[in-house]
Amino acid sequence: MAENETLNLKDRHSARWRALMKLVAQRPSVGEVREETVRCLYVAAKNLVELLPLGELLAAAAGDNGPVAEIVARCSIGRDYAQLFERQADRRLTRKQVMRNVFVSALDTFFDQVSFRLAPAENPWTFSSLRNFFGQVKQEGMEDIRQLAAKVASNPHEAPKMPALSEAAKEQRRRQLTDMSLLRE
Amino acid sequence: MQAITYQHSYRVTYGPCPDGQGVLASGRDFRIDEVQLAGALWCNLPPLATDFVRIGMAVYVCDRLAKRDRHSAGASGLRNVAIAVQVGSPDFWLEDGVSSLLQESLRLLSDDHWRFSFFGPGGAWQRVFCGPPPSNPIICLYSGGLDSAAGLANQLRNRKEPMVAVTAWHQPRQKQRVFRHLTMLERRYKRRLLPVVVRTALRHPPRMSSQETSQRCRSFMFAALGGAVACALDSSVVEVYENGIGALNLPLMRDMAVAARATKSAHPQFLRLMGELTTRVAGREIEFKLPFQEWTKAETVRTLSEDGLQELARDSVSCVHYPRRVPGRGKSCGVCPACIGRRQALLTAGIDEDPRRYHYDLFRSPGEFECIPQQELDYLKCVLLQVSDLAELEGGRLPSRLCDHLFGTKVIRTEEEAEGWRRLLLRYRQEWLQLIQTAGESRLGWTEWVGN
Repeated sequence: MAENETLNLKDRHSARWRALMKLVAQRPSVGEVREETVRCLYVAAKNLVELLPLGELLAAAAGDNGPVAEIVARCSIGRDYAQLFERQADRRLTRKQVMRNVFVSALDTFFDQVSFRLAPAENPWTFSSLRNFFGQVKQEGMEDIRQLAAKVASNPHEAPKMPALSEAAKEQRRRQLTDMSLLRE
Repeated sequence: MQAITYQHSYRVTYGPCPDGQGVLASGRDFRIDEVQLAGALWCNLPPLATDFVRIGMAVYVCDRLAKRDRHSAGASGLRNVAIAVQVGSPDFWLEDGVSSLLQESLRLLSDDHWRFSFFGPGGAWQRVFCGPPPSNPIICLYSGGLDSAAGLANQLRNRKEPMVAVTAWHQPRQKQRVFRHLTMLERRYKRRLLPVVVRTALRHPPRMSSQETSQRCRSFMFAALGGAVACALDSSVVEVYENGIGALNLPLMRDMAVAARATKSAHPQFLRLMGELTTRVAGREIEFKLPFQEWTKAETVRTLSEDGLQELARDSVSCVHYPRRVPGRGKSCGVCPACIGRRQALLTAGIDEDPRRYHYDLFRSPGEFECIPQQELDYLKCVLLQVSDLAELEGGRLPSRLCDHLFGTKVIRTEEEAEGWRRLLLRYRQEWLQLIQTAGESRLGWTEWVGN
């Protein structure tokens, strides 16, 4: 059972998002960050399936099952995400669209925090260059996000299966592991 | 000659369950000076308006005493507050439409769930009072901050109706400051203003570390007070002088959008709900208005500069930590969002002020800026990050963050209504870019954070 899932980069449950931040600090390609970002979202989605009444939230947010606020009030853990459903609630949207908007919103929340932490430090990043970079990441990853949203919306009781890693990503992970010192620094 | 009748004392119980855990009595545990209120108004406060003020005060007190649990495992900071207030007309407040308005407005402000119950009156006493109240004036909430000063100056410059300035006195020396401001404004515009300053206080409060310091529901009490005065004086409008950027308070970062991490004290939807609630209390239409919704802070402040009221601007207080308990003049921190917004507005409007009033000075010299501890620069970073993000507006597109906030918090219901907000935020961004350029000439380090 997942303990919690928050939108706070500092939270101890957000380790994978912090790893993404470290990756961004190394100025990787848009493709590398896109791949990691989608994986982060899959893990978040898996946890949300366990933590939240996703079916109810989606139905309410898409406008056909009473007010979202009442369901959100029952969510003591995973509440940050539950509130995103409330914000995205729009009866003109389908459940898939609501789910996609929730994921995009979660992504923006983390990208904001990454920008906040990286930009003014001793990095070549500025707020503007990071905004452009993350804009490209989102644009390139939108199809993956749509697919993930469709999976979750069509079966909100089952954790979505993580897509297989690309060969390039596997190679990069292999390199990271072999480069890693076995002695603790 | 009129007789003023009100409860001598009333009780409030609150806690996480309906029967309440804490029992508070007015006079003993908290104070809202109803005698002072009636005296300032020169008229009887209607019974339901008295209830409204009492509920506002009860909410304010419970909001401070019910500390959020943010640290234990699984805690979300969410509070479920059950509150029972002794009022004159319990049946009215228990009506469906009324209690749901109470709950909805507090949920918007604090993100918490408030459950209300009401019980009947205790003893009452009477005092005979005489004098003619002003008829059908404009009521405005006056805090002594820069926005309220600039807003009132703008209204006095352009309008002729009698005006009543309502202040919930909750800060040290706030009363004296408000009277000084009103005197300056009366002299400048040759108008009479009716000040209604009401003392509000939690008596023998626990240490600040045991209190909920966000005080998100404080504005409910301010608005209830303004609404009650409007009921008493047959007014149909309560004006709130907050600039559009402040009223909208677009969360500086996305994670501030959830929960009650960003204040909504002058949020258009909150004021709509308070208007509906006050209308029910008065039995006639009363509206809460934001006359400067389409203005930036610098645009409202410019009036003070044009009308020779620079001293009034300097005398106002904006800092959320005011007064900092440090020796010397630096009673304002200089790095909170309110201080940053104030300095941006004053610099843009061309009003100088003594930088020594700020503990940290972000705008004077590179040397001083370098001395500011990194953790004190968080809000400046957030503001600049937002200014950078608002670049999307230039392409005619609404950033998703703005869309979520406008629709998610019910500021607007159709996309057409967003245009005014888009234009306002663009002007605000331009003001900042101009300031960044000017400050960049002085080689202030933060001006390089935004980039091109």
